[in-house]
Amino acid sequence: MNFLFFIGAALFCIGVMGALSLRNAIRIIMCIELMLNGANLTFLATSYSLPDPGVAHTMVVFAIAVAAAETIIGLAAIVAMYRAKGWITLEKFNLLKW
Amino acid sequence: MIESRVIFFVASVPIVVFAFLTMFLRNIVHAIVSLILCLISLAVVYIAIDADFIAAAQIAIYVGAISILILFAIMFTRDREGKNMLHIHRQVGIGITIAIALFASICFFFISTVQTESDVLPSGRVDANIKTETSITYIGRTMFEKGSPYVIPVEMASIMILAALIGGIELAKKKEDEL
Repeated sequence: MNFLFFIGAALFCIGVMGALSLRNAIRIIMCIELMLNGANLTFLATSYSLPDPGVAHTMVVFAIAVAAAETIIGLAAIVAMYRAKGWITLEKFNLLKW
Repeated sequence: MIESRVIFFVASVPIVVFAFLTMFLRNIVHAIVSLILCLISLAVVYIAIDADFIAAAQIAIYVGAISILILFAIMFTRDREGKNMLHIHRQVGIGITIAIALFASICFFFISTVQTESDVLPSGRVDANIKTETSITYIGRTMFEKGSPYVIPVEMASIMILAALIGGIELAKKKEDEL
């Protein structure tokens, strides 16, 4: 079961790597999904060592709900960005840079 | 127990491989297909560790809803000038360094704190009375039992999803003055 912790950590770190080094905003949303899935896998791997496994499963249900809301808002913001500027390459958005 | 261990040793290879392909594939539609395959292999692992309801939710929500939502967003935002650029930023070295450092520190944390295998798999888990319960039973008991601490978070999650729905519609719809 310890093995699953390392898979979860690997998934999270692949997501971090992608979120830090990709240009396209939609790809960054996809990498954030990978990070959330790594966290979910780690929660479920802990469910074996908890006295009540329902706690870990409940956390994962909440995490999936938050992930769904986050994706909706993120993609809507990206579509709004595309309407305003015509591109979604994040490094070109320097409006808040000084 | 042996069978499920074999299942997640086998299924964890496509998880990591498709996660890497999600980042490195050049075509973004190929990347989303590889993300979907990664999520399906995760659902296989969830079934192997007795999390049936989470596996079903994973298939229904991630594979069914979120991936299709991302595909629609890709369709709405065709990046014309970004097409012939490399999709990886020039600061990829920093990203890989930070990710490897994070992975090393998380692994160090796990190795130094997680209990041994015999502690992680208590013998009570294979008792007959626990095995007859499916995961949906104890999710329901944890969430909705009388006196459960999760009743208010459940209501707040529903309000949060409603707010996200309204906010998503409001952000993404065409405003009247730009019609």
